[in-house]
Amino acid sequence: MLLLGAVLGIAGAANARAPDLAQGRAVALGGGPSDQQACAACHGANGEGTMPIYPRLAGQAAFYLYKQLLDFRSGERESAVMGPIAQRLSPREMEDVAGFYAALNAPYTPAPNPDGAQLQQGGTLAAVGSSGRNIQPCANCHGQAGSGMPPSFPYLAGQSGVYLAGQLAAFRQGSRRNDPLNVMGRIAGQLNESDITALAAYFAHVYPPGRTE
Amino acid sequence: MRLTLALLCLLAASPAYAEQGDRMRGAALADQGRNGVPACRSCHGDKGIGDGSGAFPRLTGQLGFYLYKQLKDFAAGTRPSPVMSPIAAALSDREMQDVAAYYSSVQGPFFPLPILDAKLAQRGGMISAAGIPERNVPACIACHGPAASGMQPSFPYLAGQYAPYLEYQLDQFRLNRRQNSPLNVMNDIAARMTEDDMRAVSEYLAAVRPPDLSRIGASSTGPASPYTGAPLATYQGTR
Repeated sequence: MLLLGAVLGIAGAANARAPDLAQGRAVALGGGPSDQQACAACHGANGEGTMPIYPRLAGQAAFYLYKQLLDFRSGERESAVMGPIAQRLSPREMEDVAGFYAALNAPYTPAPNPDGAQLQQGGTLAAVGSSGRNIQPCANCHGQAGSGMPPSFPYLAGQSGVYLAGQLAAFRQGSRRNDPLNVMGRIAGQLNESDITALAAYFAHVYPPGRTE
Repeated sequence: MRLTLALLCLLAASPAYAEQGDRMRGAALADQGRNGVPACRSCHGDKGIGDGSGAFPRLTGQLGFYLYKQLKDFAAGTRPSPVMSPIAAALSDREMQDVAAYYSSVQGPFFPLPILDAKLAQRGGMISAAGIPERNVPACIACHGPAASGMQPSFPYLAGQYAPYLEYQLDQFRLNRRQNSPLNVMNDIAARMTEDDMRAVSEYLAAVRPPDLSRIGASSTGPASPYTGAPLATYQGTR
């Protein structure tokens, strides 16, 4: 209940104005009013991520993206790269670029040759957690198979494994603390190295939502 | 060989499963679970199609008896699994039949295929269709049916199953951790395969799609099939 209140409280602070997707596209491509570094240079023209260390943004929940930019700007979420970029963006540009990436639908190409045993370890933890070790299933908040629960809970399905492993490690170490009530810090604290590797490998191989043929 | 196969089929078809599971009750259990049993759907996805990762096998349209027997074996420990064994042990025989009947009755879409390595797929296709004669590995389709689409009642379909899952199971057979195939025939086969063989045949089988029977005979070119998709009862009058 407390958690729900925190989530709703954050969501209540959201903007009343609809994002301007054309403006968002301009910001993403580096031609926004603040003359930004292009998001696309790292995150890809379609938000697919150009390298494993950069997260996939395509189709991500708009409010989640907007809040991350706010947190990068305030330092609530620390990043040597994203901090200065977010400080140059106006709130309006953040809304627009978040809306733009949320509306994208980028191709997804799973990496070849995953380890079946590792996928099962990660998949099981994601779907049912571990009651013995007090680990909540990821699916509780991030949706079945990590498909996301907008506005606040990002999708994990199809996200870069390298990025996911890095974020779980950051939550565990306490260097990322910008989620509601530090829920992720608590959960990540229960995970060991092998769990983190398995979870990252699993989610990287799950198809993003709505992609059956 | 034929005699062995017939014997295997007889051995595998236990009288306990009478194909009488209740699909509706099975659907309820699969989608919602019950106290002490998580919903199958939470891992195996909507209608058993999985999530595209290959962590969990596709159950959609799998043979009912095969599914039922796997649940029995998970509970008994001949197919040990830290996840499935406790779940199966909590199910009644009736519930196993219901949920097997449900998954065997459903259809569902496939996730797009990853980019296939053509050489690997060709090697896998040869193993599936012809086996590896020099190492005495029989063709998959000898037991798993044409195009590996399954053979009633015991041999599951492999076509369209997830590659990481197939490869993992072959490895489990090879290591004798999974010991629930009739006469341990899969352990024997897997022991004669290399890691490359397993990967090749898994990648190949994952890419095979079951033939769309509803389209057979619907084409305007080529010879028409006598079966056009109409209810079979309408053919009763034609002698």
